[in-house]
Amino acid sequence: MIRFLVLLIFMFLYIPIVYVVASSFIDGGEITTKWFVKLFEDRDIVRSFYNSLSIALLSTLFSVILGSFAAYAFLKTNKRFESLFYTPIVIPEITEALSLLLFYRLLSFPLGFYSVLLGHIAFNIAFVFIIVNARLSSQLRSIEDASLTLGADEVQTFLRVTVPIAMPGIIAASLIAFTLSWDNFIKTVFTTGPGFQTLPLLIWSQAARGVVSPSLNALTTLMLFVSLFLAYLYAKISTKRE
Amino acid sequence: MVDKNRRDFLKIAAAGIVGLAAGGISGFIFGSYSSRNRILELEGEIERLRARGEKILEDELRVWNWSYYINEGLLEVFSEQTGIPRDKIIYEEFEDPSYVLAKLEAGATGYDVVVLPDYCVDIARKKGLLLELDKRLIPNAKFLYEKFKNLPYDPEGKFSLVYMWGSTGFAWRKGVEEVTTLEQIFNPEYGFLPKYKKKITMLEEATEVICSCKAYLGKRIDDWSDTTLEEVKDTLIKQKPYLAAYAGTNVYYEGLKKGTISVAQAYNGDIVRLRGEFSEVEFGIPEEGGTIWTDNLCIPRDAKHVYAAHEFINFLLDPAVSAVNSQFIGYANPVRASWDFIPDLLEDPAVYPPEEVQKKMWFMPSLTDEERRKIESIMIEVKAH
Amino acid sequence: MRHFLALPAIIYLLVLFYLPFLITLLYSFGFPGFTLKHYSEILDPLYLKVFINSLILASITTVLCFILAYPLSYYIALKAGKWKNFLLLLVILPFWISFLLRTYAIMTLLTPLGLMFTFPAVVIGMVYDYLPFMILPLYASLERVGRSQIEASYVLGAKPSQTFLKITLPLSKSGIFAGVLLVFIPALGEFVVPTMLGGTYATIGTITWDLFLRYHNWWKGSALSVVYMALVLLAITIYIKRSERIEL
Repeated sequence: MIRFLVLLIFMFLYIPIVYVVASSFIDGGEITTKWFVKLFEDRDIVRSFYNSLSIALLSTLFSVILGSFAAYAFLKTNKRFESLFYTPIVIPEITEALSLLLFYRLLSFPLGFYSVLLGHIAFNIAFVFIIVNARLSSQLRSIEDASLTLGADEVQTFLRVTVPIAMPGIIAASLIAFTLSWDNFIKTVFTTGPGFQTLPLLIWSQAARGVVSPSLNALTTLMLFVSLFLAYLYAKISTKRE
Repeated sequence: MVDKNRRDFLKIAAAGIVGLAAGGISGFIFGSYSSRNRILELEGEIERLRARGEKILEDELRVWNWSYYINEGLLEVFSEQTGIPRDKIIYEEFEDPSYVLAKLEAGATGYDVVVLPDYCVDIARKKGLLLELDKRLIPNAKFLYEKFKNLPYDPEGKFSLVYMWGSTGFAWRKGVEEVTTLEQIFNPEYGFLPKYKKKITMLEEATEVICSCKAYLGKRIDDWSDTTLEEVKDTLIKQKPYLAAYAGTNVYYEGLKKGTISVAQAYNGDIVRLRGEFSEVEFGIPEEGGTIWTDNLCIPRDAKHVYAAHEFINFLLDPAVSAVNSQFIGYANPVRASWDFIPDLLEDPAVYPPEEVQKKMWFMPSLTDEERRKIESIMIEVKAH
Repeated sequence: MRHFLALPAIIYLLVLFYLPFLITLLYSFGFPGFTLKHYSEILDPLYLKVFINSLILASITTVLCFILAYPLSYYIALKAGKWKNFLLLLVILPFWISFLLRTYAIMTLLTPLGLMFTFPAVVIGMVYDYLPFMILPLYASLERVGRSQIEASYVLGAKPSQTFLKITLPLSKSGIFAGVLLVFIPALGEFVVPTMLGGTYATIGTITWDLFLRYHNWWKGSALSVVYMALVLLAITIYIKRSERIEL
């Protein structure tokens, strides 16, 4: 029964995707792979892809580290101050983007890769914090105490007990942070400068004229299949865990 | 050959400047204090460099424009003509000119040339965000059609030069009743609005909607009196239930193509482009008129490569270049001398509206702060209604 | 000692979020001048209506997301074994496609159904875009609910529904809270989906956007943002305080 539900929900998630993937093989009325060929010839697309990827990976890395440690630290302390981490989620994105822009201008901070990255990390920390916080339980304390009682030192406890327990939360948070960065438009467009374009910026600027180059559909399809393939391999290879 | 002429011209100009500088700066310089200083700076530089016999063009250029709005091959030509390496010409595209304005207001865009629509030039100019153009460095400006000089949003034409222009009208899918009058669009009782309920869109740009409404009400475009605006507001509120959305290109383009939308207030250029991939769509300007919109070449106040910027603007206004550009992107240009090279564009009423139609059209008006606030409050009320 | 672990994150946010926010605050008071008129203009009932629109949309979105997400998260966390992470990736993969491309696809699919530019269209678009934000936190906390606890419950004679209601659901409470937080709050301020799919549906997000970028009124946009944020944060703080009293 639940399997059926799960299947339905996955279908809901994937129907638009099927459409996008299908479009990448169609030109006019016929089936073709020409968009894939054009994709690699387009320097702009390739460069934007690389830019988006580096921002996403780096912002995920830093926000997960900072956010997870913060979630861990806040487990027992005053819940009151937790709201500090909620504000980045409350603020409308346009307000946040413009305030960052003004802030950078005030400091005469150059707009480009770093200005975009710093903005993404700030935003992602909040998301990571909330997710990892939800993962770590109040029982963690007692489990850690048990470990310490059994003779392990603090570092060992942390590495062998705390981190594994937190891991699914960290993975979930990483996936969210990466996705938020990867597909981010509003914050990025206002904090970037000439010479640094990300994929969403490229897509949106084309859409503003009505025509999104089908090569972008092709790029999407490619990304999807590569990720699926890698993930499948990884799942097959990893040994069964308890 | 054209290149050499331009260099000669610069030399003559520099010589003239030296002569004038000796007699003191006269009413040759107008505009704001900072612009005056800037021009003084620039002139001083020309003198010094001229004395040293050095090339004055910078070796880099950054341009910010709409997508699909230039024949990129022209960038190669420009590179060859000026010696600026092609990879130092950064050409990027924005999604919405309001982002350009936001960056200008925040202090800097990082670009040397930006293409701004009329209503943005109005705002940017009033806030002192644009550099005054040194027309001596843009001799090709003389090729502009008279009609496109000194437009309401930039009365002395000091901060912008028209790049391309077009008309705001209505687009409809074939099979839908032709849009010939604004009665169809604003008067529910006419029957058009109910017939295509929730399949009609108006533009996101508030001024376009409001001016169109004024035309329907028979008011003057520059009538911003409270009584007129009350009428406008009431008309828009009555219209709203029949609208699918206030939509920009990124929504109505797809919408018209897929049949989600049957009628859209639209920019002609988008429809010309749409016709290329989907022929079942028409464009027309209602009898009450529409806007002649313009996209303009401007230089942000913070531009770093000012000479290259002027050079590029001059290049784009060259009749041959303009013709090639227009032909490629399918837009009307304001360079009279180029029109002889693009007869088929001239024949297309969706690109170049015929004279009788143009008579009823208006340019984007210049707005005072108070008028802007009024627009803001009308639209917020209409949208929240 | 462990409290210091939060310091880097706190400092980071102070510098790169709260300082810029200070600028927004200044603008709301009419920087470089000083005036309260931007705030007083917001006291108009018009903005209340828009706020209520946003509340309705966000609430419906959150509830629907929860209904759809819970079974999925439950399945992945407790029934998927070593395919857990693969399924998680499967969940997030659609969101690596540009938002625009996804939305155009949704537009195309909704058109023959005659649903475009209606409120349901906005809801569908919102639920679609926010689903991962409910699925992943729920998964993170459900995964913590050990299978052994559930098995123990069965062994002790409880029916599956009792187990679910008395053990699983409560233990996933923190995940539910996180999921609701990550969906409801951003959905309140959402701008793009209502604009592209909902036509004329005005939300706080769309009005704020308009104020900043269409009417170039950075002062009022800032003031509206500040008021909105204050209200929401107040609500969150009250909720946390109350749940703290109930919590063990």
